Amino acid sequence: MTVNCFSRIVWGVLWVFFFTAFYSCGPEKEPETLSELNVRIAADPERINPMLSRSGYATQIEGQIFFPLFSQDPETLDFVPMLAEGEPEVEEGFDFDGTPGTGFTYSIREEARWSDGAPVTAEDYLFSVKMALNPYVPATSWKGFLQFLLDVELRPDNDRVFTAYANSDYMHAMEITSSFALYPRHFYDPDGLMEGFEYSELREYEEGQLSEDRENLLKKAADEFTLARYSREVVEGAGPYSLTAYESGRRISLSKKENWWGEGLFPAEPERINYLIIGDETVALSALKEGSIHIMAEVSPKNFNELQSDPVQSEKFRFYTPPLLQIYYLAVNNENPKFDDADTRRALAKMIDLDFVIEELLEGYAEAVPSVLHPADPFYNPHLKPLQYSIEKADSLLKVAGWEDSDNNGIPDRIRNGEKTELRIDFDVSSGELGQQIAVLFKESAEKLGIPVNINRREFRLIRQDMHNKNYDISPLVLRQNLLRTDLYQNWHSHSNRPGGNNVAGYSNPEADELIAQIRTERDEDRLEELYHRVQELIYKDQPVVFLVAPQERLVVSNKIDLTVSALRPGYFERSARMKE
Amino acid sequence: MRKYIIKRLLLSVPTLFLLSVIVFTLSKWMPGDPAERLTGAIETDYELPDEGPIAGLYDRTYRHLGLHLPLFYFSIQPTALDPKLREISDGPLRASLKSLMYLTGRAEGVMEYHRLTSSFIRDMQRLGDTACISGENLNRFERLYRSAHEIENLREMHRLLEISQEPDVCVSTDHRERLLSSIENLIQVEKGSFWWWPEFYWHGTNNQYHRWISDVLRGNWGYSLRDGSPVGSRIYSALGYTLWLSLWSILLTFIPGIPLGLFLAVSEKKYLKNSLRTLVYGLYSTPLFWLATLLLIFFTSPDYGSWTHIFPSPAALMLQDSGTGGLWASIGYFALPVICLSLNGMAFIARQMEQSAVREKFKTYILMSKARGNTDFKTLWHHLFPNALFPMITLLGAVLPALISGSLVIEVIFNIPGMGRLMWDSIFGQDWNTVYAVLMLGGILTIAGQLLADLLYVKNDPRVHYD
Repeated sequence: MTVNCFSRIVWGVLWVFFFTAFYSCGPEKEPETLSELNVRIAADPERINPMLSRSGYATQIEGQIFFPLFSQDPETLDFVPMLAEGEPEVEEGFDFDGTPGTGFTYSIREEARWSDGAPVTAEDYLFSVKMALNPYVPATSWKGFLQFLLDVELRPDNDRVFTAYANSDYMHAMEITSSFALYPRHFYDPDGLMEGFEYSELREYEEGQLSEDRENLLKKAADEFTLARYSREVVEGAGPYSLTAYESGRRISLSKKENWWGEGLFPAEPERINYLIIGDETVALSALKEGSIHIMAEVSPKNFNELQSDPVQSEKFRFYTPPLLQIYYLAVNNENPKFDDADTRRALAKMIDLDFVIEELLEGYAEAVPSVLHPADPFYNPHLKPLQYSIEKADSLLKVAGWEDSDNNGIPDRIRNGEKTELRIDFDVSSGELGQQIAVLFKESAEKLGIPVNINRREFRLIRQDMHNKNYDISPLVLRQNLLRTDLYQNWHSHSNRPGGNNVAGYSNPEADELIAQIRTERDEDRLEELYHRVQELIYKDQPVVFLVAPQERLVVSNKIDLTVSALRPGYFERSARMKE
Repeated sequence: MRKYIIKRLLLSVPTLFLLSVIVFTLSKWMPGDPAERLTGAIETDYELPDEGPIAGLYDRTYRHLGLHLPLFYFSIQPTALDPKLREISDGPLRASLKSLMYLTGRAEGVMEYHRLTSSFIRDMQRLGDTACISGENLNRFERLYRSAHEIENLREMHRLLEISQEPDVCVSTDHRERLLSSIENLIQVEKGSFWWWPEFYWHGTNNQYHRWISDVLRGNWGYSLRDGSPVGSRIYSALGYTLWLSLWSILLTFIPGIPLGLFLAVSEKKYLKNSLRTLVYGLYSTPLFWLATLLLIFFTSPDYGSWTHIFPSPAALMLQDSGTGGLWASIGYFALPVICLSLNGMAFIARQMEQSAVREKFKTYILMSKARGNTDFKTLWHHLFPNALFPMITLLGAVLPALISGSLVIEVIFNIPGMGRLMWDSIFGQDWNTVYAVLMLGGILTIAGQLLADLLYVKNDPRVHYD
């Protein structure tokens, strides 16, 4: 090979590459009309199937494709009819083997249609709940709330009307009968495999009770339903959009259905919504600045501030901070003799500088929370004040609780039931950055009082297992709330303090138990307010966990777009996005 | 030669078998539980999943995935361990029983204790308030049972059982007595001295490895545990991006790298040579993630003046349609990642080539060629170059697997859904079917690459022959 020939090849290849590269480059033009809305999501949702999906991004996308009977209005937060014609007829006083039941009779909108023109019927409702209860379908969260749905009764004379019976003791009885996505039976079970099963039969399913043939039928239906096909190709709901592209790791595109039945009833402005999957924030920001993305949520506080203070960029965008409806707190193991008294736990709370957490770690996008309800909750108790950071107060509280350095080794200790315990703390954190920062902050303060803190970084799954077995000291947790009435039973009632239960702090106060149980059945708003306020006060006093802050969402939206911002996740309502006049 | 190739191909069979066994075994040692992942509710860090009646569901999934089967055709375990332990689907409980077996050295005793305890707890929970053990004590009892790593826990369980003695309320006193004595046995009976003795168990073909490998041999790589799609289709879509990226970057690595190395070796221009060498060292030692982030920040947005906005941001790639046509159209988005990869690689190749050429430069055949009156160019390309190329062939052998393995750093920074990211996501998502397939594919290509390199040696150097 001669030199000439070689260098010709070299230059040839380089030319081809750079020519094509530069030729196809150049900034993208921004769309003039909002035919396409581009939204950034940080991870691939993997499945678009409300029963099976496991990510919040999936729930967001499913909200555009699937419709429930009722859902919360993103602006007013009221529960409004979607597929249902109007409020259900409520009839109480039913009995299901000793469980009190309330019947909700719904009527489905006459105009509601699936994409092939077939009407949405009560059969589709029944199919959706039956498939969720199929023992071989891993519909974990659906199975969780459907335990309160006692039975479903169809009407032979009208295929749009049916009655759903829910457990009357459950505070969200009406919501659980109406707020899940409806699936078209003829799309998801074309062979009618689930037809031969009764709802009650599936509800009471126990292994080994069905004949082998019927068991196999259930297995077959579940195998079909969980195929990737029903999560990425055949994705059918009664909502305004249909799935047109699912490109793993890149993009999920939805297009508006032609002649959609709900036109004029529900907002559905963009012709097409693209969810761009961009994990790295730097990449997402460069795309945002370039104009390839119109909506970006979950911006880190630092970048959010930088964008806002940049005179060029801040003109191109609008910035929103809707509440995230989450509470960050440190779970404390109340069953550990070290933390079995309120004074010690209050001392722990006083060791965390919440102002620093809010101002420095979260750049001001959060507020301190004193107790179990989010400040945006209508039943939030405004009289409680978050515990203030004070090492001196923490020290004196520890003394009150009996912690003294009796053996002069620098570490506080106390004697309980004849046994001496030293106050050493294991702080378990997982990969979340804020949790780790708070752990370091806590360690610094605690060490000023001579308390050694050992920060263990572990997988959250393992931490959770230990928490459920009360085999831990302290670990950060997030409490999610929605704007329905908050059920405190799962996290704070002593009945939930059992292996596998979510009362991982091990909180137990008979008065609080009583109030929490009353809240579940109380209907009167004034009385509810009283109960909620009292329970918050009790928990505030007992301080079973260390309450930290409620963070705010940080949302950047192109200023060419008008958009409804909401307290509901993900903080905006993309269906309402329209081009600014 | 043909004999040699056949021999090598035959030898690759046991190599691949060994690789499959190692990959399979390693995956079983990784933390994480695919059955839990498949059945768990939405779980993010620091958030407790909603409660739900998932116990039965978890158990069914555990069995469906075959996790209750033995790992391999045989196992060698201390006498203290029961090979049937794996059939218990509850992970934390399994771990605690296992440590109890080590502690007491008595496999059968622990299994008996486990059977009695679990049914006792179930019975008591069913009885609720009428049970002979209070709710609080029962909770404590269950918790101890699920995390019993010490004899102390057993003693405490025994105590809780003893204070629960109200035979007229308790359904089965006999059951309680038997449980008491099984716990006593575990506490009191001395640990045998040969509890560690390795015992050989033969499991036959009903094992996890056999299940997987026989599917693979039938061409079925299984389904992804993450989204239920066939593993082949996941790899196919990721491979498109990675091949495209790798092909360009390999071309742009070798084609300028080799002449640059030769130039550095033979050039007399000291000043130019030194500055080039500094540049090459600089590029070689620049961390890839840093270079990539810099290029991304400066050249994909108009932040630093509109003239720096040369390349589109990676988001535009997300909007492209896939397929080969799409790839050609999206070459602009690949420009920066390719530049990053090849700058770094080129520096490495140039260094290798330079060193190898310097070694050859002073050999007598070069002097001979010059003495025969050949020009410098002819000496360089006809004599020095083929001989200095030898180490390049070894590197070329590594190129084949590199073609498909992708670069994780680049793929993450530039948001390219290629093989590197697929592998990363699959490992952390415990999607073992995908991981196995990618690793086996990598293994096959590594073997092929090495065979190719060996054959190229023969072609390039008449002194090498394998017959």
